[in-house]
Amino acid sequence: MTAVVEASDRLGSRVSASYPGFDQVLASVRHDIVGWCRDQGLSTVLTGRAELVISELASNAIQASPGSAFEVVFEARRPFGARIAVTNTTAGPSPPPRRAWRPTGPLAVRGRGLLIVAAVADEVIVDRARSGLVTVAALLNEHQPPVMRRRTAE
Amino acid sequence: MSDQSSRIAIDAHDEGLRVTGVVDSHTAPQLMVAIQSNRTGKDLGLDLSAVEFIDSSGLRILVNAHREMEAAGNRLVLLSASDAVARLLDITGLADHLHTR
Repeated sequence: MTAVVEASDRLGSRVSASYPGFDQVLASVRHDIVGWCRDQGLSTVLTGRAELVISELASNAIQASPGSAFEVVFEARRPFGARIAVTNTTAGPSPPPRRAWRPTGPLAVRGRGLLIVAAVADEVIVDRARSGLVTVAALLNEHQPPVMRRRTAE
Repeated sequence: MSDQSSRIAIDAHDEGLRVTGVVDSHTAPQLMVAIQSNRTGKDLGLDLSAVEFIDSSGLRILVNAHREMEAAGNRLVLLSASDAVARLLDITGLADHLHTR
């Protein structure tokens, strides 16, 4: 994997990288996101949230299309926070509707991935784009005014 | 690619098993096998104090093991959850449904 710095200035940067669709890469993906957050001087709290978000989104991408590459785009804007987009570049199952971002019961085995992402991110969008299935999570710095920290969990 | 891989260690513990490291979809199958291999018809403790990172893949194993042991009349007891584990149990509401101590 080679990360490409697409833009960088004193206010932040945009980095993209493609990973093979295997569970073995998850540690690398998390490691890269944590490094990019640190490079941008983002807080430890926000970095921890980003690490959890990318683990869930990357796992979803791998599960949807095992063996197929997925793309991660990380954008940081100081002092506001960061945005993480994961694109699954192959045809997989359609994204679940937002109301289904939870398990079917308290002890259902599956269904907590997007629930977790929605809980730790300030905004989550799942969309079917021309390039594939895109999930975008916005993470605002915890020091931003509450009005900017809209949560999307329903 | 960075030379990274998820690492998990599962060792014997006074009350069952002690888990150290990362529980994600790469390492979760190891945890599942360890739990299944150590079911002895009694309650099983899982010391999670040294879990540095866990995601929903790890929770899936815990919930599945909880359900299977309950069905067999035993309990899976999560011991000393680390901050990472406690955070996810709270977010998902599982703290109210799994046995913790």
